[in-house]
Amino acid sequence: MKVSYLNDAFFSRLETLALHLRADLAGFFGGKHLVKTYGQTVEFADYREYMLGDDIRRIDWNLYSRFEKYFLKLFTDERQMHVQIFLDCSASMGKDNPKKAAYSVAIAAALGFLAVHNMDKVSFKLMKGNHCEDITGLIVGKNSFFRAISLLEEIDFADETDLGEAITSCPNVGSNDGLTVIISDFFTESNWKKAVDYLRYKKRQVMLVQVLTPDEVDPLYSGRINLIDVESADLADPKNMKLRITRSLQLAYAEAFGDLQKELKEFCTSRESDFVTLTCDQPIERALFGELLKVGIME
Amino acid sequence: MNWLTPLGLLGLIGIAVLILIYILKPNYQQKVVSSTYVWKLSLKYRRKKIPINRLRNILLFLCQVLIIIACALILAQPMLREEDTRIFNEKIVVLENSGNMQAASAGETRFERAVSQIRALTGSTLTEESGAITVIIADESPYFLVQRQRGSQGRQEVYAALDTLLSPETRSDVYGTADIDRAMALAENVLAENPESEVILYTATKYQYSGKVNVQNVAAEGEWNAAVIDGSAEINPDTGYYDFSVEVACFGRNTDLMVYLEIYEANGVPGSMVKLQSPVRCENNETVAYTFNTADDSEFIFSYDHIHFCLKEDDALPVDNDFYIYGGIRPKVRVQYASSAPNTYFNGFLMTLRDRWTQLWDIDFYEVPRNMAPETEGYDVYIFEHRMPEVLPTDGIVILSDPDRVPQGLDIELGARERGQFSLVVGEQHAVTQNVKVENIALTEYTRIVYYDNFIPLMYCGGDPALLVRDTPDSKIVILPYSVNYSNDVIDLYAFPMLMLNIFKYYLPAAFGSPVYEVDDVVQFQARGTELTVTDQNGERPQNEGEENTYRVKRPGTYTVVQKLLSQADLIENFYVKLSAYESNTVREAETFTMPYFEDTKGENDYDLLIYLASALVALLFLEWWLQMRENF
Repeated sequence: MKVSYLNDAFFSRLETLALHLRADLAGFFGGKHLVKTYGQTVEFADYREYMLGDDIRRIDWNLYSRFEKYFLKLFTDERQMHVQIFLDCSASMGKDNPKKAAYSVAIAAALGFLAVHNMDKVSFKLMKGNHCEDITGLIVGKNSFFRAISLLEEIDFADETDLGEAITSCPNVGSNDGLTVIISDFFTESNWKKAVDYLRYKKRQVMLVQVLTPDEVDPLYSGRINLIDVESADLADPKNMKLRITRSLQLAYAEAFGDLQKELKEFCTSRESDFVTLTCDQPIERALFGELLKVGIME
Repeated sequence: MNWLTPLGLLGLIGIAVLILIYILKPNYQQKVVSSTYVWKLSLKYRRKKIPINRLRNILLFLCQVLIIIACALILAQPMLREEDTRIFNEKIVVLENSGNMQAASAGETRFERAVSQIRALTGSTLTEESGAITVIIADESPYFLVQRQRGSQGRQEVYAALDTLLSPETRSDVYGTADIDRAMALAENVLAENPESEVILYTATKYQYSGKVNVQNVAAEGEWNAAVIDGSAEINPDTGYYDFSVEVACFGRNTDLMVYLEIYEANGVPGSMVKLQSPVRCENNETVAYTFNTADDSEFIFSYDHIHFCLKEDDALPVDNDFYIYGGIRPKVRVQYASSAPNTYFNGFLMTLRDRWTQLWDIDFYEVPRNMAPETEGYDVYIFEHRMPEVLPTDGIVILSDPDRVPQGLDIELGARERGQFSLVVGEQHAVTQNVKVENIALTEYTRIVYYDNFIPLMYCGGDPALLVRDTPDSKIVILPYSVNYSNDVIDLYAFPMLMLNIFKYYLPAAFGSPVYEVDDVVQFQARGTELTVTDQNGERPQNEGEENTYRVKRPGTYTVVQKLLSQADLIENFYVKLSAYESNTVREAETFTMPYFEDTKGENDYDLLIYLASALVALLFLEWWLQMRENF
């Protein structure tokens, strides 16, 4: 049975939220994001002395009467950002677990909706193998967004994905113009750190969203189990493992999982990126209004 | 090591089953997971921490195998026998030796038949080196004839011991009742050594329940026994003549028994014998009573010396076909009463004694006239009142009342005459003053006795003796230093006759209490003379029971008691010892007897290993649980 979180009620609840992006981004003209550069908005930002060539209409005559010097009044600028959402479309993201897939798509759609709701541009990049597919193109406006949503629900999660290669090889990742969200479980041997470094090099704001199932956080099965990796080609694939899962191995798993999470967090922190882990057993509302608000990407 | 249940070792098949389970253990279950990435990372952590995982698996398997082995061993019940000293094929023979076993058939008594069977059993048992035999003779006091005899030498000893039971020189026929319970208690001593022994009881009694005891009935086919169970002679109050009652029974046959009665010296005719007879129908092993009424038979018997009931039947046990009742004529007691002032108190008492106590004495009472000197010999009892003889008689009991002088031969010394109001107090406890309320007796005059060595003072009056007795084999004297005329004895009618009766009972006791006893009864004889001898009809003395003149009568028949009186004359009396009715019953049945305790068949030297195996099993189970816990951990 197909699982989908995307409906009118879901999106209507998001209308009260907005993406909170860094102010040092450049962006494009016409958006609603306040940036550090001075522009033509009504929101006061600073004063500076008049310089030759400035528009004399912007001189603050009140200050002139007080200091007998010409000062110009500066106002903040509002820009349009480009939000790029990279969605891991490997088999591990949902081939055997439609709920995880739907959850990932819902997170991607929610972030996309927040972008178009704030006059930003959105593009969904589906990472498959070592490349990205842009099935929706650049989306501006809600009408375009809702047309693209139907395409997102048809995503086929299969095969493996090399996160690092897929992102770095993406032709148009932009530069200093917005937010890049990578949605994956990050259970991969591919060099995802390289992708983050690349995006940071491109001065993009980066956020990693890790979507997991409860079994991945705390596996409850035990005994003699042949673990079949959903991304494996066949039973003989070295990704598959024959294990006698005991309590000690479960503890070892918890320790390994904890170290992996710690590594993700520490790396993201070092790269001034955001990292959030979501498990698909928790309500999607809690993920949006809880976890994402907690990291500050929403306001 | 021995196995009580060797089939329990089949439990070792469980090891094969365990291996099979390990082989057929379900393969790895397949589970599709999103990624094995973290599992691969986790292996590094686990391998770092648990390097002995494989060793633990081996230990677990080993532990499970040991648990199965322990279970199988427990089922097989292993037992260490250090050295088995038990004797196999051991027999404990309990041979009843009672009057009942003397019943004979075809010239062989039951006892002899049982001995023959035991002899054959000994031959078949002691052929094996491991066999042993114990023979317990169960008479009234059971004992081991032979105890745990083994081998050929033991066989010869058993044969010799059995021969002594039947040999004419050593044979001692028993007519009492066997104490089977005590015999079984003796058997328990052997059973304690070897609980696997077989207990065999040779008896003629049919027991309804005999438990583990093998009861061998040695009664012969068709045996029967006619018996005189009891008899009595009583004067018929209607006719004034004797009726002779008899109880007879016939065990093992319904028949008419001819009962014969012989009355000796009937009506005081010396050397006479009156014979009566009557058929009595006996059925169903029940006792039948019959009475010979001599008045109806026109014999009119008012006295007899002794009577004899008999059955002239050719039965298995002839010893109970006769029954005697002796004592029809009591020993004559000659009493002389001499007084300077005869009173009715002594006269009345003596006449009452003569008329009412005929069951004890035949009293011949002679009162000496005042003008005649009393005799000092020829009487059994001399009573001198006020008037003392010159010489003290020595051939009888002497009673001196209110002596005015000391006869020659009496070593006392009289003092002054005391007058006043005196009350008596009791002295030493004695049969003579039994039931006499001494403190109720008061005197107004008495003679002091100042010297009375060799006498026992039984009553005192103002510190002086008021009653002296002497009882030695050659001298029996009673001294009352006061006259009944000066005492209230005569008012208190109870005191004086009781005192005199006690004197007569004490100095003239009945030699034995009953004319008829049963075999194994203990009879206490009382001598009134200087010597008493008891012999059975074979002239042999019965078994003394420790106390003087106390004997156990072990054979049926007539016993003779001879006493030498003070006058040196012999007093001869008889009594009869009969077989008990229980022993006369040759077809008797009983419910059961006290069963000997058979201990558990496990020998004392068997060393049970179950406790150790159980401990090991518990330890292994704990270890297996711990390993499983670690395995899952």
